[in-house]
Amino acid sequence: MVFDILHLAIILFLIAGLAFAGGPLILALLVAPRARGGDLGMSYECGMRPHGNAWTRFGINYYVYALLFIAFDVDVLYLFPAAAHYHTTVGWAAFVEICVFLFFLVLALVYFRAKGVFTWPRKIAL
Amino acid sequence: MTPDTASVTPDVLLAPLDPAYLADENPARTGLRWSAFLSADALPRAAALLLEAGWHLEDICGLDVREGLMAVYHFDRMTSPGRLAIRVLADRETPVLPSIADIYQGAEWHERETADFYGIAFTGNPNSMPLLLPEGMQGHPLLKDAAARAPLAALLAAQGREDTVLRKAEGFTLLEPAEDAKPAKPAKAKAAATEEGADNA
Amino acid sequence: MAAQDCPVRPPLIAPATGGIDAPIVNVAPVQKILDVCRAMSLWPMTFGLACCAIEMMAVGMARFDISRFGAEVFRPSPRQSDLMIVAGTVTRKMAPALVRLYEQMPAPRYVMALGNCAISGGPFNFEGQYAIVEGVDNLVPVDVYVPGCPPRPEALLEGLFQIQHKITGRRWWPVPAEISGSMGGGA
Repeated sequence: MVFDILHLAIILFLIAGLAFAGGPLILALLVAPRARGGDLGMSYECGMRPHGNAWTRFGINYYVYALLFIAFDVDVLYLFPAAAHYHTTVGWAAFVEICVFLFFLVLALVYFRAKGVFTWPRKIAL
Repeated sequence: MTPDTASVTPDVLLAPLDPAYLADENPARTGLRWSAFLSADALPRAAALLLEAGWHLEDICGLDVREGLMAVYHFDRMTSPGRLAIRVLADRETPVLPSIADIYQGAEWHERETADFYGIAFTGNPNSMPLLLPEGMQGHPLLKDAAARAPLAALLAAQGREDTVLRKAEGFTLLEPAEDAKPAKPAKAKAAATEEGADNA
Repeated sequence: MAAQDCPVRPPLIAPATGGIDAPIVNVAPVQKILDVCRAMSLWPMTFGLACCAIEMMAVGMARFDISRFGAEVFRPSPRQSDLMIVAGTVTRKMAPALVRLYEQMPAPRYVMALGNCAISGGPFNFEGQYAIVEGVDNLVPVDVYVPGCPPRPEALLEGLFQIQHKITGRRWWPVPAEISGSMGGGA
């Protein structure tokens, strides 16, 4: 495999991403003053001593938001490279493949619309 | 709650409990329509009867008077308004009263506050944490020292109350004015004197 | 340690403990630039306890807009804030919570005592006071005192400018012009 400019670009992109995320953290570690002592390490509970368990049961109905997130956000992520290469394809095959991909995401949307998630009733029946 | 229980007045309602004192009050003077003195044992039963008749609890407060520590309970009704005050006297050395928090759940906080400020212990109150004062505080702030304590009769007379006694038990002396009583509010006596002076002038 | 708030009999007013360590790279020009950055975007932690909280809310609203001066983001959590605005009367029951929240703020942290109650107990400072902490500087170190009962929203903004002055060494905003005596047109 020949090491060409594209591979270098990808490696630089990775390094820049890591630096963008980690740089401010390292910078803060170096140039910011640090507080210590007292109740700094205590879990925050509005100034009270924390009592009770942190692991609580929460409503399972929040799963709809996770699925909607996937339907709207991650599909865009996958469509970017597909869209970038679409002009180089010939024939109907690529079109049909993208339609199949979108069909399953639209299925998720139809499911949630039937559940009533896109309206604003008093209570969502799940 | 049937319509007839809604209009039952406290003198009929509390009669079975044999209150030591029950009076019609003048609401324009004191804000009360009725007032009653009960013993500590009669209090929970009175609360149960009042709840059943549709009264709600407005307030529980305390008074430090010469005769002891007094807890005052205010009740009222939405349907036919007219405030009722029930006064219960507790001994100063061991001030203990029964809690009505099992009947009126809102009484829990009022009783905690009264316990904070006067030291009255309400037996049966589910929560013993102080409501307003910090844990670890010594003493009860609203207790008066002996020189400043007024007799109950003087305190109530200073309000200018005009009550019509409906029942009074034998040997009920709480509202007799004491011989050595000075008016609880000297300013009021001064105002009365200037009024008389103006009349004479 | 902040005073415990459960069965043990604690001292009623326990001031904040702990301290702040200097940064590892303590180069003056870098710190000056960072100080300007911090001062221009102070994130207040709302500690609205009483009436002064209303004035603090007014300052956050459109008319007296504090976000013009950078302090737009009012954080309820101490972990994300650098300025604690103590707005209101501090009772002895609340004191351990206040101290705990101050200790939970990361450095650099600043405290503004808003209103007379936070400065000295205000109208509740009298002989025989049993429930109020007479001045929040008994609990935490205060950087700026804003007097008033309650102070006007403009006074809170002036307090913010003074904190910025304290952080960066200079005042960044114009001093308000003197307002002449009469409002014109009779009483």
